[in-house]
Amino acid sequence: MSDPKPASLADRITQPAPLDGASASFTPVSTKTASASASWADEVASPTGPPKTEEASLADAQVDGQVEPLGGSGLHDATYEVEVKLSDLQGDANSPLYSIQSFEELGINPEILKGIYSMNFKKPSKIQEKALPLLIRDPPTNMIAQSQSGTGKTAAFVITILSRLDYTKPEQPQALCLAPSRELARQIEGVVRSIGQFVNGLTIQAAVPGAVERGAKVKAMVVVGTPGTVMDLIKRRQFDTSQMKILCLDEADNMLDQQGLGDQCLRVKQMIPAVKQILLFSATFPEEVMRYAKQFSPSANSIELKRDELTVRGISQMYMDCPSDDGKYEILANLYGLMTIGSSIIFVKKRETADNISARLIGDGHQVVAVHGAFEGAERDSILEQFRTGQSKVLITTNVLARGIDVSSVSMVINYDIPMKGRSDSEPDAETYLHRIGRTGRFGRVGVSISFVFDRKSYVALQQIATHYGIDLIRLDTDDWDTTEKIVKSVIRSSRAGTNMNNN
Amino acid sequence: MELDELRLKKRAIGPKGTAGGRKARRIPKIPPRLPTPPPPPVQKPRPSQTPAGQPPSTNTPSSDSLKPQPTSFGQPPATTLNHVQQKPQQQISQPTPTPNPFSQPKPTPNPFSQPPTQSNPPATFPAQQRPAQAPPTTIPAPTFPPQPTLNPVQPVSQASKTNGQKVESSASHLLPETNRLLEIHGNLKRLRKYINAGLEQDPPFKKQIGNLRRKLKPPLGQLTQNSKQNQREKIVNILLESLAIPNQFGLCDPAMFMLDPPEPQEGARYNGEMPSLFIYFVSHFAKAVVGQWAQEASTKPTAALPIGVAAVSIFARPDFLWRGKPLIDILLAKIRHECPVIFGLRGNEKTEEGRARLGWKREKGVWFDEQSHMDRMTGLGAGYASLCLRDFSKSTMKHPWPPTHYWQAIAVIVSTPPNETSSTQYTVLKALINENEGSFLKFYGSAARAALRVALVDFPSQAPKGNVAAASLQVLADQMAQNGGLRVR
Repeated sequence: MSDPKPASLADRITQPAPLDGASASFTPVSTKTASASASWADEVASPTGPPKTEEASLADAQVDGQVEPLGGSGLHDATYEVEVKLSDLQGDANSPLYSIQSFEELGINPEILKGIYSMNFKKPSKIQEKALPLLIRDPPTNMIAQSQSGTGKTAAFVITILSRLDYTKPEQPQALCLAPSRELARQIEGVVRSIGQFVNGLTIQAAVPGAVERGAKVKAMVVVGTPGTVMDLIKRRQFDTSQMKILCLDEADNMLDQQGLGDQCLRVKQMIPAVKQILLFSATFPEEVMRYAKQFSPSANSIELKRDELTVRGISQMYMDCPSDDGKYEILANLYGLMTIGSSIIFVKKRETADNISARLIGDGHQVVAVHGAFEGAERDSILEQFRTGQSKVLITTNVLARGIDVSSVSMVINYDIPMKGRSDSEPDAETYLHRIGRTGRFGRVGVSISFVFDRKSYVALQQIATHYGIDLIRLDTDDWDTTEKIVKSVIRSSRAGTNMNNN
Repeated sequence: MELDELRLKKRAIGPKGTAGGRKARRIPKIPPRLPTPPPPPVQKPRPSQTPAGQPPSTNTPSSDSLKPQPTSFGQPPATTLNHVQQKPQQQISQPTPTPNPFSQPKPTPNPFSQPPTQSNPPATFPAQQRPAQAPPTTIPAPTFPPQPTLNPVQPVSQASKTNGQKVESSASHLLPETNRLLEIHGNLKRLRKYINAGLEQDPPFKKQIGNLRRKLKPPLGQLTQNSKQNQREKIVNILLESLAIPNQFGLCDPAMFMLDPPEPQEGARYNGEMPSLFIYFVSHFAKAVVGQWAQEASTKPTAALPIGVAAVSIFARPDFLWRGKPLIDILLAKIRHECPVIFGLRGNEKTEEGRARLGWKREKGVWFDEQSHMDRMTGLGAGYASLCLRDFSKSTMKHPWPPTHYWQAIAVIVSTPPNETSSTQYTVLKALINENEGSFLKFYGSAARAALRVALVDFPSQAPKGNVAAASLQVLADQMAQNGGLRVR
């Protein structure tokens, strides 16, 4: 029921406005950026060494003068080591993951901090660094935040929610988080649990279809759900919203833009008048939706991105020239030998294709699951859970899961069919493409996306998407796998280097 | 090539203006600093010092590579083969450590620690103790099996990428197998080069081998907790095939790829030499295993386990033994190269040399960003643990790399003096322990608990304030207390 409907989204999306100087990214520039610059090097590398003077003697102890064979000039050289170039240490200031601060400096409660560390977040990402001080400041202010896929948006609003709760009222709903699909809601629920694992007395509940029994009260501080279910629960008075402090919409553009979901969100908002802070997060905010978003979350701080900043640089984007639609499967099977792959997601257009490929891959010994709209809610939860825990390594799905799903081990996304929108699929769907490939390369990791084209239509569509975002797509050939393997390796390598370089 | 050009072009037209920008921001190499006065001469060299964490009862660092070499600097030392056979190491055959060193009643004194003063050997001391380093230029012509002129000590591959890098080998804290593994890694590299060069001459055969080689990765990627047998068989079949394919590459001596080459054994399937092509495939298999760990276990530590289990069982398989011994050192050599801190290497993350020593990778001269590096280290730490902590007590086979090496890896990290520690070490240590505390306790009982206390409480508490990697190590202790009820504090 909560399927995103790409077609209706597509009809109403307008292209982002042309770039202009005023729409510079990250509008609320914190003055700290400049003032703290002197200490970048110290902060970024998690300094562990002693001050420099001692470092020299430490170097002595470690390097033992074995330099002659390497062209050095003897023991004398061993008394110093070359410091890492500053630009390497501080990282790329334009990277969405770049930051100069630590979570401690952002003033986050230590119990929450522990949870963050246990999830292996070491430093705030750019969006976290920029948004968190505004988000957790008093009095609460609304926020509309845009940041690339996999840059820690969820963690940012979860930290905010956890910082706002009154822990003396464990059964009183105080924060509500809405997501467009049950999978995403479940995922956010998981993030709240992880980040909040050391927070005493935290209670969380999911409000997705089938999760709350009829007549039972919602008795948790944090409620994560889909708009329809939440609306029903409030109407049936199972959900007391009188002390709701914070409302958060993930994938906000997607929710506000769809007829059904958008209305439901609005209704929910009207039913919680006491709410003090409304947060909207997404990787994409088409302009028209943005206007609506600003009404939904009035006088909000906003953090926006330019269009050409939308793609994540860690994702190597390639395309495969397939001989025919039917020939795609053989090629798919071969791809897995080209590179080391953790988990992977294959996006297809039709449910039947999904079932088809999954049957063939299972026959070939892959651990595969398929998810699409035809599956029941609880079944979808358990299938996705299998994928998340790594019991199955390949997920085949339709656009249902194009957005938001965060499985960090996903290292390859395949567009088995190029995403299309409009009547009779006449136009390429650039937003969906972006969200799909954003399932890999999470939090600055390296990921690969490979799109399959086989005829003129699919080729042109992909070209248009590439032009839209200014991506250079690399062509892969199926004739000589040795060469293809080399190309893939080199592309991955350059994107690795790219994640750390000034290359916008 | 073309790809790079495209990317460069893109950079050049980017809004911030920046391929050049990057260059401009790069700070020129710092001129040699005036040498700081050498540290006050420490009392005396201690050649017999026990390496960190080695239970005192076991052999002292008898590693051939640590012994003084009679050869002079420019001259290539004896051949690999002789070199190895003359001085076999005892590391592998070492039984599980005797419990006495660990069974102290109070865990408070660090069971690993040496007095901190011992850890810095005087600067002059190692110069005489170091093994001769071969000049980097003498890579022999691509012929394999080796000519008698082969150098046992190859130029350190990671070193050769960095200018002015110094090679780590002095320190008494290095585990005994450390340097030999680097040689094995170099030997494997040359073997692959030799075979690749040969394949270039024969395109159809190259295609056949390439296709077979590419079949190694998918089954590794498909391993899960549940259905591993099937995938493992696929890999075994590929390796078996590589033993059988007729080819021009001939045989090579597996001793070149072993820490402690065994004597011929009666009834062993292979007592003489083995097909070079087989070693080539095993080497690619090892690379694939390490790659899979680095890729997958970096974000999902539990994913390391099925890979480790498969690797151990494939190496231990009778078909692939040489003189009755598994060729697992090929995998260890790769791990040694990718994650040196497991074997005791230390370095300062703020210096080029320090990073190189720690196995911090770079691409086109640019260091991997911190997150990628730490991810890799996490995956490799988890992988190493999954390798060591296998229980072979019910098996007829012998554990090719028993848990004692796990203990040593932890020991060698926690015995790092506070001023030499690095985030890399904290990260690897966390990965070694995370999700493995159960097996660790099973093998070592209360000694493991004492070790965990040192690793998760004492060691990170000495970290510089604000070190996040150390903080997350401490959080692991809380997590264990909360989830499994294991209190180490």
